[in-house]
Amino acid sequence: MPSAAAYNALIAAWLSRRLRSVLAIGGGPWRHPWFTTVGWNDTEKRFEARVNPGFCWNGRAVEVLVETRLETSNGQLETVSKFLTDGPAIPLTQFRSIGGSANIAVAGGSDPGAVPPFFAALGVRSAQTLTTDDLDLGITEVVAGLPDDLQSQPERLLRACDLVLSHERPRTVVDWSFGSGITGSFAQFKVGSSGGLAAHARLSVLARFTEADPVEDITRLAGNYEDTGLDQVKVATVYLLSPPGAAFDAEIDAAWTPYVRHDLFWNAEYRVTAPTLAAQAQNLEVDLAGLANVSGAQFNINEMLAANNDAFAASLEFLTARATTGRFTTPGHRVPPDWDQTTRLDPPFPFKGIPL
Amino acid sequence: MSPDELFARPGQSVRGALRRFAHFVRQDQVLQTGAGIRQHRSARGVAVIADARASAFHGAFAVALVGMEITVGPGTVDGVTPTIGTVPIDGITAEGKTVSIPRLKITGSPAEDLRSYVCIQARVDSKTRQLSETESDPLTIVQRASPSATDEEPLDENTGLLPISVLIWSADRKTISQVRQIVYFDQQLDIEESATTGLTIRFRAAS
Repeated sequence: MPSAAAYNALIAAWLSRRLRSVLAIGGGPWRHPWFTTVGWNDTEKRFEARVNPGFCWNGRAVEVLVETRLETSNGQLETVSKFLTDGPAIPLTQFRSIGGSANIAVAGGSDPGAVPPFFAALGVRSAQTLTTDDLDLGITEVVAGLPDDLQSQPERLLRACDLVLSHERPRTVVDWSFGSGITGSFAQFKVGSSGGLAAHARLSVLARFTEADPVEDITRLAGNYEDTGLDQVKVATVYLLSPPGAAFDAEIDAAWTPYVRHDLFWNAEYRVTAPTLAAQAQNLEVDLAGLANVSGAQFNINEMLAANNDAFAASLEFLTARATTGRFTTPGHRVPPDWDQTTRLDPPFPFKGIPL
Repeated sequence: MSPDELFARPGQSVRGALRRFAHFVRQDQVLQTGAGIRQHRSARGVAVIADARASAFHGAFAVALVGMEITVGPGTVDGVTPTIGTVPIDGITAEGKTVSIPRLKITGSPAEDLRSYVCIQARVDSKTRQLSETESDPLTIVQRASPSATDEEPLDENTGLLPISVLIWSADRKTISQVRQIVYFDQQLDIEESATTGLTIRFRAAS
């Protein structure tokens, strides 16, 4: 038998060569631009997102700005803009409730929303809307529903917020003026712009992102809406799932589990039509000879344009050619292929190259 | 059982320690964390296989930093491979000869925001609205402090620019701390001319 010293030397040599563990780093799925991870900040008691930097090329710059909270030299926290490539933590502080977590909703209030299949499979109940008899109060009761085989499980709550890419551009301004001449009444139509083009796109967090409804031509022409001068596209939705059995008004804490569903998979490009400078703003004179009962003081653009097809067409063409509009494009798709949405939130890679 | 318990006391018989060692080896397991790892156990040992295929996507024009030089992975614009110096970035000459992958030396300094950009620079012919045929290398890789025309780095109207990666410099402005890829696809050129804006040269992902 070997001595204890020789045996111990053998054991020491074996231990030093023993494979104890294998840790895979970077062996997971390819992280596309805008790939978002969410973690709990125990100091600030909130969830924070970190976004694998995506870029938005606007013809002058590619970096994307994001607002974050940083500690200053005097120990105060202040909100500052940082490049996404600097890897800032993005605070997630405002959420919407989805599904059964919104037990009561007042008619006309916020929509509890449909539960994504992935979370329904994890036990989040859909909200079923039942209208009470008390219609005067306009109260709608939302009852959490669950398939029979899951009724015995404690409810899990679901909250969500959206990461949104925005770009500011000059606003389109429509102006009408009216008058009368020898041949009859006329209207002068002017299209201009105000404000400037932001140097960078900006990433922000909204409790709920809503795509802007298209504005009808007649409304655009009449100038009866305000062009916000802001174009937006959704980057991702962050979901927070409660532990089972949470109370309907439970506060979000470290026990909640974050999930991310991405909407943008590739870097974006932002294109804006050339803004009409005030000095270059052009007028269109619309002949109103066919409208006998027009008076300048009580002029109704909708009636005028509806009654005069030529004026409508000319004005619309004039506006379309001069309005300032912006658009995000990307080679990444926004209409994902079919996949099992009860098992994963994002479509499988590779993400196909279809323009927005 | 702790590995410390495997050792024998000085002067003690190792028989008991050997029994403990045999038991320890039988129950010993490799702790593995993360996806894409396979273990193959055999009488001769354990093989660990890390399946990193999912991370292998680089796309076109993948920029890599080598010291203070960069290489650019294969990619095309309108089917043409850009060059560094006069060498195509994939190291395959027009004659089909394979040469060393060319490197672009990083010179100058970054902009105030500690960024500089690796760009594809395209020279086009305004008449044909195609890549210039009069220049031997109409597509070149350049490094600039700004991804667009500035007073310090002007561009003429026959030149288009596409930033393919951003170089993030350290605070001392002497070394590069990060390279971030911007473009992942082969490109094609959209060249338009109008009376008001002149020649507009745009890149877009090839369909």
